[in-house]
Amino acid sequence: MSRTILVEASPCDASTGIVVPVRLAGGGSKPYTHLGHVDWRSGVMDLPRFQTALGFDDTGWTGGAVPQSAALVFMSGDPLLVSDLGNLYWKDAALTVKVGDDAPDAPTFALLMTATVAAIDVSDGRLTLTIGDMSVALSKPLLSTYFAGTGGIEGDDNAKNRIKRRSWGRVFNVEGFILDEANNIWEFGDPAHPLEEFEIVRDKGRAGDINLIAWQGTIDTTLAALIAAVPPQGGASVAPSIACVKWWTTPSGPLTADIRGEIGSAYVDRVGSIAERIVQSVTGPAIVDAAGADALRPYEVGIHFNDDSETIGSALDRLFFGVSLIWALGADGTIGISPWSFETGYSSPLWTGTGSGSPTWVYASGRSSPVWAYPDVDVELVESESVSRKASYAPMKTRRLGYQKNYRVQSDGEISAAILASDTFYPDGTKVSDLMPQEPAAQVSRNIDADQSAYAFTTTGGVASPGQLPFTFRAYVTAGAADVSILTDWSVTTTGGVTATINNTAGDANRGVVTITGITADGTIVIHATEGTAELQKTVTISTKGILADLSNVGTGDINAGSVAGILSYSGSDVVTTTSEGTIYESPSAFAIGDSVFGVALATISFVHDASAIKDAAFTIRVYVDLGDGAGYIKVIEQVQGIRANNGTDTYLAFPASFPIAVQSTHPIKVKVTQQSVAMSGGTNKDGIWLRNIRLTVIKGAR
Amino acid sequence: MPVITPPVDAGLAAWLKADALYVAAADASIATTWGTKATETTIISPIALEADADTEAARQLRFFEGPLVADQHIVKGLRHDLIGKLIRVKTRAVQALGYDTAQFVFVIAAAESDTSDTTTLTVLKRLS
Repeated sequence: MSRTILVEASPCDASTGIVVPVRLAGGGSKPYTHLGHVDWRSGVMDLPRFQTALGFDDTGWTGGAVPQSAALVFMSGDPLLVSDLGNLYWKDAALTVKVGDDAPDAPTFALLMTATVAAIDVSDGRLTLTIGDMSVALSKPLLSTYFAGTGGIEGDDNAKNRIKRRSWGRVFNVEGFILDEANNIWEFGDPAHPLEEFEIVRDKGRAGDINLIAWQGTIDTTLAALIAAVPPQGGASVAPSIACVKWWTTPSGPLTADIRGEIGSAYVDRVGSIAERIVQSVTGPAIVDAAGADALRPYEVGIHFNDDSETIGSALDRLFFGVSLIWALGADGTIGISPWSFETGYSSPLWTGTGSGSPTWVYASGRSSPVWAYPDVDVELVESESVSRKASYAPMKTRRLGYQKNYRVQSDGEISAAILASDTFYPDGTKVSDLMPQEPAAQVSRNIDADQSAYAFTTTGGVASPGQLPFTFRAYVTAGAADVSILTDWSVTTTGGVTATINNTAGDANRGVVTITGITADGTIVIHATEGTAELQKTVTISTKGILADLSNVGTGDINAGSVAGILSYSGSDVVTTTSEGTIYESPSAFAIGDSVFGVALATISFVHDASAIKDAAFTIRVYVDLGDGAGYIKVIEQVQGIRANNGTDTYLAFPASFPIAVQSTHPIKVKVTQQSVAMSGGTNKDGIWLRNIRLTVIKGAR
Repeated sequence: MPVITPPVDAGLAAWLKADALYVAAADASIATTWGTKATETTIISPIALEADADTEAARQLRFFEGPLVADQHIVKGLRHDLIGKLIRVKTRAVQALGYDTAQFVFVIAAAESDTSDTTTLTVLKRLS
């Protein structure tokens, strides 16, 4: 084997600036006719030497590896050649170094180094090329474009000179910045790089519904569609194809989003693939085996960039160190990725090579359990000439690992608290709490509020005096001036306390179902009306004194006197009075008279009393009423009726009599009428007297 | 007081105020053996899901639980290509810091000699 070194460089002619290809060679055992060229100049003294190191300290990795090279020395026996080379302009000239064995008939040369020349030195017949910093390729800023602030997708003045951010994979709580204040458009990245998805959009941490604005063919037309969109209430219209969002109103706090990042040729969310996209975005060094890294760490990952000072190198640090991978820039200008691990064998895909022998159990350093591996093949054995110990690192008992990185840390004040009804106002200044209770799923009625004034219940019309009841009032719902045919007649009658009924039989055929949904002790009657899909909720307040002006909530056109709601009538058999009090009539059961606000009933008992067989006879009529209040019968009338005849003969007299009573009760009542013979003054005869044609009439709801 | 909208979920609010969600891998035997000499470290990863974070935290703890030492070896050849790789190292000398039998080490630095075809490797090795 004979090692041959081939150096190809591209210095410029000092006067014309034209690149002058220079080929230098060293070592080997054959003429320099390699790589299709015959103009190789002999004199390369040795291979360049490299130093490279990973950043490491007690907390773990601190940086990837970038090689540094020592100088490359060329010395020729021809001083004129060295002089001619020295007269070229070498600074920043591209340079590659290849090495190979020239013994084969068709030798191959591996790329050892790709670099640039930082400086040269010509002395003592030597040309010394100082290799430039190889980290230059990794020092490029990842973000380098800014919003112009010239309108449209370049944003308004708010966005001027703001960096255009980039995101790959899944990233969380990325803050949106205003792009077009007039149209409430917010950007979450470079509009030229479509995002896969806005998963969640939040205002002060409160997420809203999302509707998607699809790609419209161009960035400008997509932006126009987003501007024209009407976001769902409390939510956002999103256009991931231009990385923009329109929130439904001006956000009250940080507007943030969980994002699936850039699509590029296809959406990626694995670490190696994302690294590849990052370096490709700035035409940086190639990743050697991105798919291999994806397989090593098959995690769903993401990274967001918002700092124009961040370089590719620091981006790779952020991406790899958290997933136990390390990156190293090779001298050949490519980036290699490898796992940091002491473990071998099948548990790590890197070490599943095919050994020539049988796999065996081996002990990794410091491990008490053996692992399955091909020790001779999978892990290279290197023989050490000498060893020295340089540092010790404390054992680690706990490793905390952050995931779902939050790219916008929010303060307490930037997170939405509970929204109370008392803190919330309608545009007219009305507190939401003032309109409680609300009904779940209630919908906005059709202009009923606007029509209240037109049909408002006035105090005069709304307060009923005793005896006025029942009320009948009509509620209209109109749209503008036209009656839209929600027409409902309601009759509400109370008797002292609160009871109510609804007459829902009258009115236009299009009126909806009207029901009473609740009556409370304070006199509030909740009436629920529906019409089609609309729902109307009305509250009618009725006091024991009459209907209050709150009935104006319902609105009514007029009030008409009601009719008598019912008559109870009793016709009894003839009765002869007795010296003991006896019942003529008693209600077999209690009956309601609550058909009016005051629950008034008029009870009249009438009869004819006939003293044809007696003289000096008298009797007492008593009327009792049980008001249903637990007190039992109370006597409301006690009236003596009598006859005295002086002609000494039987006298036949017949007198009609009636006894009206008025009863008021919220409860069902009972009525009882009794008779009892009594002696009249100056007389002794207590014989019975015929009571004939007895009739009891109770008029319920009398007025 | 009637509530129109409840506050943001407490778990979500906690995350919004933190820089990330966290999982922790802990080795009780290390804690018992080393007490306060043992470290607790934190890193934020680009991982999105908790299950993956659990796996990864355990993997990282296995590497760092150590204790680790940094050793320097002089090996033949120009071997800067070994950076970031797991290799086995064996010395010719006996009783040489345990390298008389091959040891698995992780290469964190490589410096090729300017004057000879040798390379100084700095490696991480488990001490126990």
